[in-house]
Amino acid sequence: MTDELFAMEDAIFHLLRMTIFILFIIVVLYLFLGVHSSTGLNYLDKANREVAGFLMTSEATGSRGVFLAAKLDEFDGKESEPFGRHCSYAYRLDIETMEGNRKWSFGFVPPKAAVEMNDASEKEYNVLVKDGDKLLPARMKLTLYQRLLTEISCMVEEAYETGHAQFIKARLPCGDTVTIPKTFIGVPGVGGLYSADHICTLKLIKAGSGADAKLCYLKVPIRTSAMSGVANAAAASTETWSAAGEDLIGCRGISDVPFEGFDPGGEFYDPGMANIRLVPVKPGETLGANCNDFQSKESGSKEATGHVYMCVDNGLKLVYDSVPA
Amino acid sequence: MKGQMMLVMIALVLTAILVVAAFAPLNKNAEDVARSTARSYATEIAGAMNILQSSPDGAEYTFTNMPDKKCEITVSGRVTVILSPGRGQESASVGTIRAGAVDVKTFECGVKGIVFRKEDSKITSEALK
Repeated sequence: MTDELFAMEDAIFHLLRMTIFILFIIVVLYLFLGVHSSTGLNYLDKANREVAGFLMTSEATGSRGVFLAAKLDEFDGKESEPFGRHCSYAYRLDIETMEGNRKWSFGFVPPKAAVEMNDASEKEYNVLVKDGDKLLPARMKLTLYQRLLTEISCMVEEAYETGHAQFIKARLPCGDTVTIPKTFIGVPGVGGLYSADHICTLKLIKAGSGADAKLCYLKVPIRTSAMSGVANAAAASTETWSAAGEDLIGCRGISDVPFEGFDPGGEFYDPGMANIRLVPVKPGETLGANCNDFQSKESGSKEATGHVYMCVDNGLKLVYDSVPA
Repeated sequence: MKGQMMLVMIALVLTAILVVAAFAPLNKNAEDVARSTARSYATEIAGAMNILQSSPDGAEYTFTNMPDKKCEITVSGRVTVILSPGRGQESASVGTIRAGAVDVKTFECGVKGIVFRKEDSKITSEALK
């Protein structure tokens, strides 16, 4: 009887020791996983100061920090980024005089959609505006935007200028992301769950040419027939679908490089983080939405480049493999 | 005794499962650190080039804060830093202000530094020996 009691106590203590040990391991792992590093450097704020410094000595000024009203008039109300365009970040400039109430505003207008990469830095600087013989004190507000559109516009130009593929790891710019139930997991007639997938539809196109060339997001409506491949079409039909028609939802000016844009060929499942590449290829070569074997097609120099293509590593999983009727 | 062995085995198996489960997030954290390190180097070089863009001809800047591991730095209108090139590499690219032309060059991290110069409104670079 006493032996049985000791054995029982021993087992309880052992279980207790084991539980404490496992809890200790869990706490240690939790502490390890909770460590996050940060450089403490705000890249966009730093770039904002650099762009401001550049603009204040650019051709828009007579001397450092003294903007010429005539130069500002040339671009007022436009969406171009004159004088000092940053490759990765787009800027918007607002200058307002403190006397005389004169205002100038021009530069990038951020797209409403594609908020996956959505950083901005806004800073104000004291400047002067020379209007005729008058020197007016003014406030300059410089806003720098980082969007996937701005990064891709930079990569397109760099791919063409250098002849080498440019790369970024980011979320794809899905203008419309609709969650629809896709696969039923469970026992039919008894119970279960539908696994949901995000469907993306968005194209990038180059609009205009020459000095007016722009890279734009083109919003494309999700075709209702996209539901045909869905297990629970009835449930999917309760979702709100995009209105018909295509729509430009944001543009950034780029140099007139041979890039036609990006069209995945239909609705695709959201790949989450994706390796996006802009590849300059030799004349006569083409590249689809899948980056497979892009190295063999890379031109290597600007002179040898025929076209620049955008692709995604491992491609995109289309809702349809072919366009539905 | 047999029961105790069984409990020890269960504890070991559970610990192994927890360690394996924690490997992926730990690895992801390490990747994030490497990527932000690469970005920090790229930003520093891009910032220096931006200052040079608004400087007069003859301006010079020497970047000596080279990464202490194997790496590749490509300088063009976009600065790309690749840490530990090859399998498991991490990279970051940062654009610069587009004003004058930039000489396209790639450096390996064996060099002591990179010297940037502004000549004829163009930014050139060479390895510091």
